[in-house]
Amino acid sequence: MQNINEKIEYLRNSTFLRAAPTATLNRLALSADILQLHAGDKVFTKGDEGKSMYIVVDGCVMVHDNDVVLKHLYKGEVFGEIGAFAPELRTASITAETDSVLFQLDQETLYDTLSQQPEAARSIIQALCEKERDIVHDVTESAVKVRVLERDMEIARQIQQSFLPDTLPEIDGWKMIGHLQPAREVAGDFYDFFPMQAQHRIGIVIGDVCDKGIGAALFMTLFRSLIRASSLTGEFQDWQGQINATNTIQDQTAIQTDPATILQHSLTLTNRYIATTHARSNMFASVFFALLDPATGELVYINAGHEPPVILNSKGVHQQLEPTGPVIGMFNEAKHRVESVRLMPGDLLLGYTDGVTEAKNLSNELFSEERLYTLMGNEYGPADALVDKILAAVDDFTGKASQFDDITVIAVQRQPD
Amino acid sequence: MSSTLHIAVAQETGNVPVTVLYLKGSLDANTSGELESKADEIIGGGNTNLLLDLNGLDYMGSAGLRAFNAISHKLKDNGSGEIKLLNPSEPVSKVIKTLGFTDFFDIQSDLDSAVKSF
Repeated sequence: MQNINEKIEYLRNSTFLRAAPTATLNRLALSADILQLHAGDKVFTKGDEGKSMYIVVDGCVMVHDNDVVLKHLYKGEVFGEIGAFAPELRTASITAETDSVLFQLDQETLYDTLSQQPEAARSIIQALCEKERDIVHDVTESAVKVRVLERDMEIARQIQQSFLPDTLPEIDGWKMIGHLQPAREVAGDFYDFFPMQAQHRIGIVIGDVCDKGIGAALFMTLFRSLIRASSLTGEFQDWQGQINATNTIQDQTAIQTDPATILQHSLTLTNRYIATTHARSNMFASVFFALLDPATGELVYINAGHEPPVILNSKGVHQQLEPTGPVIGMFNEAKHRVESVRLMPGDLLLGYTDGVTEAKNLSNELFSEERLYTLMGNEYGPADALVDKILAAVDDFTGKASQFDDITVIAVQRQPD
Repeated sequence: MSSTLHIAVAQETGNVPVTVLYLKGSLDANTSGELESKADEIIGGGNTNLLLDLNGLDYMGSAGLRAFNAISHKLKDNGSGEIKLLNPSEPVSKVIKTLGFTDFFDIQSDLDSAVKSF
């Protein structure tokens, strides 16, 4: 390769100089330095001053910005021309991916050649135009890809929305509200309200799958479905029981009507299913799951690692329903205590996810539990007004900051007598 | 508004070598990957006793606990080593308690005795 003709051929095969006359190539070949690189050798770093242009003669180099690899360049490709022709700092870093050979043409030689040989200038201008055309093409392609991703994300958001109840139970003497405001990127909050005819109870769930993004959203659908399906087993048995009217099935139904058993069964099954079947995903959810008897106001619940829902009465925050066990989906052997409270006429149960208390403003401050409790401590009024007040306060607080996490609030209010 | 996490690594020796990771800043959905990568690198280098000092964290979300679990699973796959937590700051302690991880992770309060506990 030390042979001048061989050098000229390499230059001619490069994208930049393929239209240059032999005299130009000859001149450049005489002044080109040859760089022998080992894999991992750095040619230059983003921000360096650049006074040379390079041609890959053999091997492969990568264009990167720290850890982000932007492109690989192979034999015949050119880089560093921006720094060589304009007084600009290097816009990216270049490192040899494999053992490589490069030609290095310095700024002075290039300008000198261009000023003396207009054909060379024409060849290089042509090559620069081609490169610009490729860049425009890449940018257009990226913009299309981003649009496709945004559309997919919108579809994911809609599907996630369909895993929330369409309608909320309407029961005399009770008001139930559920609100989930998804983050710009999907996340893993969920809530559920479902009637359990056989037990004359209403299932109430609020949950938050750990972490964010598509993974959390996928697991949200799994947690929500497993909890609902496993707690409705009694419903299906009852339905079958009516058809078969066998004692065995009736007996099973009888066992399933005990709310504590239903809660234990449902969360233990969901916990073990995810902790074993999906152990590798390390996904877990905090879940507050309660069964409400609308006739008496009795609320039997398990709080699996969730932010404590609160019971409000005319005096403000009356009680916090603290966790009765760890999150579900993580620890196969996890145990959960069942607790029970009674919602009295006028009482309001409010559940929320950390998207409320950890909403951030532009100064990176958290909305905080204190702010939420201040809102609830005042005259809270009807459930829908309180939920609206909380959402508006969070929105006011975050201002122009983008919503980082799903924001979910549920409220269950027993109307005053 | 992007959060940052700094990880400083120190090598200690008790009954066995222990690698201490001092975490500072915010351990959340944006930064938990950095902790997992750092732990991978350390475990890959043959150091499998990890002590995570959580005193410098001013925020930890559920993604942080997910990362602890992922590391714990890797060590189990590896067949040796353990992950322990040291001296969680007040907000971190609250998250660990609410999510119920206190029974499932060894949480230490003093560096010397934590190193010797491995």
